Amino acid sequence: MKTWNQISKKLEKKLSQDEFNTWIRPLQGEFKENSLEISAPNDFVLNYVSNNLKSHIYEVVASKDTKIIFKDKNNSTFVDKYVEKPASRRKNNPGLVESFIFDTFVEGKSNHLALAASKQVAQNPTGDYNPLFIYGGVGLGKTHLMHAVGNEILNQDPSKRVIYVHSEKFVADMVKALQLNAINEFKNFYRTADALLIDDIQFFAGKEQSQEEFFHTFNALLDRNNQMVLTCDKYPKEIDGLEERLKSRLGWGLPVVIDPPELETRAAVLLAKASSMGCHLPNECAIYIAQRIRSNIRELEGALKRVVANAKFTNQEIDIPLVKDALKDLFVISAKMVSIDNIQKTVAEYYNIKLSDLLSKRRSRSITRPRQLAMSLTKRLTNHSLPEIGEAFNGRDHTTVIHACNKIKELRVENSSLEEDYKNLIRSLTN
Amino acid sequence: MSNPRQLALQIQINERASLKNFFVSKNNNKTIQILKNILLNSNNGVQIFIDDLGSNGKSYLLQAICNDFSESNNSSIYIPMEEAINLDPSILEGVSELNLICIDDVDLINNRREWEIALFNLINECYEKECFLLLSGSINKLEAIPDLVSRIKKMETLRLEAINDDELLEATQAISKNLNIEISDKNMNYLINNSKRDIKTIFRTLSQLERESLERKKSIGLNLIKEVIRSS
Repeated sequence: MKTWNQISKKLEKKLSQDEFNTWIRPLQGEFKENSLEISAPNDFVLNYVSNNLKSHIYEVVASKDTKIIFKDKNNSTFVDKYVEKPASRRKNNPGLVESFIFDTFVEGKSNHLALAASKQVAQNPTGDYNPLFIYGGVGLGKTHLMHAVGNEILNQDPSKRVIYVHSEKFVADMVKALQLNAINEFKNFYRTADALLIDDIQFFAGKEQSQEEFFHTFNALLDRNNQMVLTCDKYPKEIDGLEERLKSRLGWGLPVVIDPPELETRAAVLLAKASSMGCHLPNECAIYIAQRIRSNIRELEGALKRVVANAKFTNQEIDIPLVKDALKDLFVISAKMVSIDNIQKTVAEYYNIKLSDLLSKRRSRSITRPRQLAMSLTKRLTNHSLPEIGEAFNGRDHTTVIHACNKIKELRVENSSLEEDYKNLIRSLTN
Repeated sequence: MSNPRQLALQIQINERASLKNFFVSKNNNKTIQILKNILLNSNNGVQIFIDDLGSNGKSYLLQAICNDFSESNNSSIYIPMEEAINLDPSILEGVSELNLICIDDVDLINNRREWEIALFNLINECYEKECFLLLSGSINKLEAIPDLVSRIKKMETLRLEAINDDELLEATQAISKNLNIEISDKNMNYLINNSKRDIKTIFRTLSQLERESLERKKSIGLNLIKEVIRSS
């Protein structure tokens, strides 16, 4: 009997490298009696292989008696997915990110209470704070704190089963379980966790059946005195589309808020992240970035990554000019495409002439110069072809556009006043 | 479920695309070098957003990276949202099993809640599984759920700038060479002066010229260029 590995190697020789890597490599195959069961990561891959590559697989299998069965890997049961996996810390505690620990969480006024409560829960998971309900806006560190609680519980007792799940995943798993007639496995899986961490529960809003299941899971875990940590973007009572009885339950434990970080915390986060990336970020640079990016920690991290990548590329120390250069487009929101209409209107207003005159056949210098300038700006600020630009200026030929651009190029060197006008218009159109 | 035959057609990838033949303009030299550095030096997967306001070559770039990844025996997938948006978002389920996932034009999912959630889940899975995720689009045009937007803004963001006019001829020559087609300088200038002045348009026009020339078994002359520009 052949193995899937042998089949796969033969297919690699038979198909193009792209085809093999994209479609065959993600598959898993298993021979069972007279059949070869092939599972794919999703329907998309499954359909492609089944419709386009099945004949190649049959050729390689080279046995008419072997039946090929395609199945979606996601159709595996919850037992397949989690319970019978190797007992490494990560596999036994799905979803938990090991790097999200209390030591890497930057404390500030905005998150002080949430951090203290999380530490308390991690030290004493079956205590009074059940559920621990952490709420606040996006990208403020709720998920980090939640994982930190899970990781600390495991540090205290590695035999505990801690499950982290995003609420969307909880819903998707439940739907699959219903489809596969495996709802009891689903219930058992979640209701027997020592600690259950569910992220962003606002996504339960409007999903009645999921709320029902979550409600019972919640009760089962509370009955067993097992810890729950939940995060949300709002205070429990303010979540629209959530059943009242659930809102009430969510408020039983300890709701703690994380507010947007103040300047000092934002700067401290940047310094800590830079240090974890092995980079030296001077204090004044951290303050400079933190003063300009106020929304959330994720955006700060994104900005820092850009700065670090630029510093590595140019082999420079990080300083203010480098930060300004790396983040110039982030600080200036503009950068929008400018339309020909807008250019024509702006130029006409700037020179105090009528738009109809700018587009007319008139050849007086007071009109032709702004017209040439408008054409030149259109070439610079848009990606229209020269014939398109000519057409937009009352059906002129593209050679007229070329002439206008060349003329303005010359005049910008010779005539400082025109150069000033040109710069003013660019500024006005791009800001 | 969507028609699988259509799916197969819709994710065709330009097999010749490679970083080796990607035309790098002066404006984008630093960006591409940084991108290469990140891809070469990240062992644990990374999430990158290619920010492209215009038509500056992001689709070709994503396909090139996919192909180069595959050459090194890594699994990858290229998903153009322009095509995928008409399919069921479940096509993203499980793709985080692959080594590299490239999704082009993500801003097309704006106000498509089911797609926003699917992409949000994919980003979380890719983070957990440490695979490479490359998204492209215009970051300023992105209007999705805040949880998704903040995750995208956390990514390494690299911006592709428009090509300068003085490099258009060089770019056209380089792309022609890669496509193995011959166009006289005079005809090339005509093409540049009469097409939209961006990399995507030039590439598309030259690719079509290549196809037409092969089909008709004729060299590329001014008449054919005019015909292709008119039809595009």
